[in-house]
Amino acid sequence: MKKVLSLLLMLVFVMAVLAGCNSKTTSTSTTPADANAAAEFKLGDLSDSKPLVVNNEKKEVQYLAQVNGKYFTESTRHGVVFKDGSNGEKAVLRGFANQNDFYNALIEIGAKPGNNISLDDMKLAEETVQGSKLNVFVTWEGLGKEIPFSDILKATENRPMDVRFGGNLENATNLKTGCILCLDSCAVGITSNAAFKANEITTTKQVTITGNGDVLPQDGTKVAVIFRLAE
Amino acid sequence: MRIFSLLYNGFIWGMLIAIMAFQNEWLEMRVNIGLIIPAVMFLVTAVVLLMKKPLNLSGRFTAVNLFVGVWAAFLILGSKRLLVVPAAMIREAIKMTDLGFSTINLVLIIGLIAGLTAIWVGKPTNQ
Repeated sequence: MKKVLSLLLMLVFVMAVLAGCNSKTTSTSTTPADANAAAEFKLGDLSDSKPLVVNNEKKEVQYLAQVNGKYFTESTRHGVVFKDGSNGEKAVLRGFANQNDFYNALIEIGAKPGNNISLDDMKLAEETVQGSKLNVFVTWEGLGKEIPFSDILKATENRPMDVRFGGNLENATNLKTGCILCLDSCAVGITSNAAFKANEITTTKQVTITGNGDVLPQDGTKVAVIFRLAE
Repeated sequence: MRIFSLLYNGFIWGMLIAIMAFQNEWLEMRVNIGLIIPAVMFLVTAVVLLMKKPLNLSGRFTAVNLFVGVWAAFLILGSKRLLVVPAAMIREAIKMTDLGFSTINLVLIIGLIAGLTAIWVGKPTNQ
C-alpha cells in the first residue's frame, strides 16, 4: 500500500512540475527573449499583437519570428515554423503568425500557389516545388538593412535559394505542423525552397543546413522575415 | 530521500537517453524528445519502488552516476553542443521557449549540485 501511495505521490509531483512549467510565467532571465516578452515588441510595422503585415504596394508580407539558437549547432530542414505548430521548435526561426494567415497574406499580395507536391512525393525526393517566386529577406533591430534569408543559414552545399509559394493549404491545415518556410521542396510548408527536391535534405542526407550563428543575433532575438513577390 | 534519489538518478538516465535519441535527426524532427526525461524518471522510480527487495541509490552511487552521465553527454555532444542540446530539450519539454539556454543551464547546474548534496548528506533510508 505504501509503495502504491509513494508511486501516486511521485506521479502527481512529476505532473505538477510539468503543468507548472507549462503555464507561462514571468521569469527573471536576462536573455533577449525575456526582454522582448516583457513589453509590447515592435519592429517596423510588426509587433507582438500584429505579427503579420501585408503591404500590397510593395507586394510583400512581413512576418515576425524569433531566433531559435538550438539550430546554430543542429541541422534542420525547417526555416520558419509557427511556434504553436507541431514543428514549432524544429526551425531556425520560430514564427508568431499561423500558417493559414500567412497563406492568406500571400494570396492577398497576388502570389499564386503551386500545389504540385503530394505527401507521397516526400518519400521520393524527385519533385520540385512550384508557385510564385518569392525573394525572402531578414532584418532585426540594430541591423539597419535587410539581408537575404540564405545569409542566415550555413549549408554543407551552397545552392542559391529559390523560394516558391507552394500553397499546400489543405495539408498545412490537416497536419498542423505550422510550417511557413521549408528549406527543401515541401508538400506541407506554405513556402519552400525549390533549390532542393521534395524532402531532399532528410531523404538523401547529403546536405546539412544549420542557422548561421556568425550572422544571426543571439537566441531569442525577434526578427522580421520579409517575403517579397519577385517581379 | 529515497524517492528523491530515485527521481534524481532517473533524471540523469532520462537526460542521457534523450541526448542519444536527439542524435537521430528523424526522431528529433518529429518528437518532443525532452519528454523522455520525466518518462524515464517515472519509470525508474516505479520499477524500483515495486521491487520486492528495497534498493537504495546511495550518495556515492549518485555522484558516480552524475559524473559518468555528464562525461557520456560530453563525449556524445562535444563541449559546444553540450551547452545547447540539453537546455533546448528541457525548454521544449516544459514549453518555455522564451527561456535562454544560459538560464536553463544555470538552473540545471545548481539543481544537480544541490540535489547531489542533499542525497549525499541525507539519511539513507528505505522509507
